[in-house]
Amino acid sequence: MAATPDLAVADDQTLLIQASAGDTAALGVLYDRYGRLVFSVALRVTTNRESAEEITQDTFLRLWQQSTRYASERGSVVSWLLTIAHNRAIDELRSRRGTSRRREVELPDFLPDQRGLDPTTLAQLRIDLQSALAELPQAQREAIELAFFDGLSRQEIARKAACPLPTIHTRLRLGMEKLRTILLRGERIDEREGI
Amino acid sequence: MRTEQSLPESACDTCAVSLAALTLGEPLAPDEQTRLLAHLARCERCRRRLDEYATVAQLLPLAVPEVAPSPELRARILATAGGQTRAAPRPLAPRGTPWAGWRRLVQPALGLALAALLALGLNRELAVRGLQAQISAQQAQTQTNIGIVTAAFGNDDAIEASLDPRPAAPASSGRVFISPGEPAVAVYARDLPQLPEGQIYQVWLVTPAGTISAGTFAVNPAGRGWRPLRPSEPLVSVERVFVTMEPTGGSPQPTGPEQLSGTPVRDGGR
Repeated sequence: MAATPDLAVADDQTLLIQASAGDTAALGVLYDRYGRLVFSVALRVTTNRESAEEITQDTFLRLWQQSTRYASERGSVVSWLLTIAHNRAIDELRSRRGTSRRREVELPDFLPDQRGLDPTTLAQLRIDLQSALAELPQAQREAIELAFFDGLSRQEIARKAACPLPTIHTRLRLGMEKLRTILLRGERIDEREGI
Repeated sequence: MRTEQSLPESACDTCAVSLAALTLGEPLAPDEQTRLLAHLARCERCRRRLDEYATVAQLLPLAVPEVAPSPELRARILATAGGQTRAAPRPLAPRGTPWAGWRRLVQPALGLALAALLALGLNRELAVRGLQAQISAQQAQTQTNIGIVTAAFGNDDAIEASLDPRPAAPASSGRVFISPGEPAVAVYARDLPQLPEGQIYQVWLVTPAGTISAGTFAVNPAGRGWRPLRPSEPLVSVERVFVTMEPTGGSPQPTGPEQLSGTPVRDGGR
């Protein structure tokens, strides 16, 4: 007798394989795991619940439609979902502003050889990231957030902050340098630069 | 491959600004893209920086406070998915692979597209507490990809070609960079049709010895694909480059319709 599939504890790759074969229950489990996070990112960018839900729906349906290919490539489902949702949300935001520019940087296809990401890791990464952002000087954090979550260019950030463009350049550079040092090398920053 | 040069720190600082903007989502102007790529071709430190900035950027979505969507959204998504034609589900294997305990987040690669285009792909992995060995293994792959692309773009024998659309893909375009002696090929394409199930795009090089495969690549949902490719043997010369659609895994010879085609010319700047 065949065992009943235990989708709730299956890893993401298994769920993708099931989804690629038409199992909507598998898609449902992926939504249960990541739907809230995807929606939250879309909402943060668009600040509109209706748009955020539409983007969330589109993102998961895209995963559903492409599940066969992505299952074979063994990529990071959550990374893909967040990337697609963020890109769509930024494009919509820029379109609303009338500053729509075709994104030249297309985000990624999957990497091969990925293993599952457990909920504990995701929760820990969130803590680590929020902690790292809290260590940045406010000006640097705001510049990064305006670029990433509000889709502003450096020129636009400079106008919004009412400061020279070179200052924004420095804030973004130093902010990213500190984040990469904290997050990727496990080091803490003892000194802060108040730029 | 060109050797690394000792570069002034200010050049790296300028590069870091461009990398920060790029990885945070700002499209770069063509002149800034050109300067950036020229610097990356010479600077291993900044190539690592790009890798790490992209990893940081991909973590940023985790910073948002979580908000629940409407309860009806789940049902709408599943109803829409269920209404689409799919194959019947197959039974899962008996439970023996519980939810993986890997504390790993593998980041997809970052693609970089220019007017004179060089696609630079980076594989990366974020290890959480005690998984540095996994980072090292992934970075080795990253460095391999970077090496291929750097050679294709920066070697003295590098040639490039615009890839023009064929009737099967009238909206598509692309560019390819080749270092025949390395050999190394970097191909970038955009607005290609989505691949049907069981199909892949394959790059072909027409040489005096015949037509050889340079490798395969897929496209993302926007129809863009890029790939660093390593042909199996050095190339004397390349007369034409074209892309076809082939069965997954590639074909020994072209069988599918051409999608893109171009004739390489030697870069005037080298």
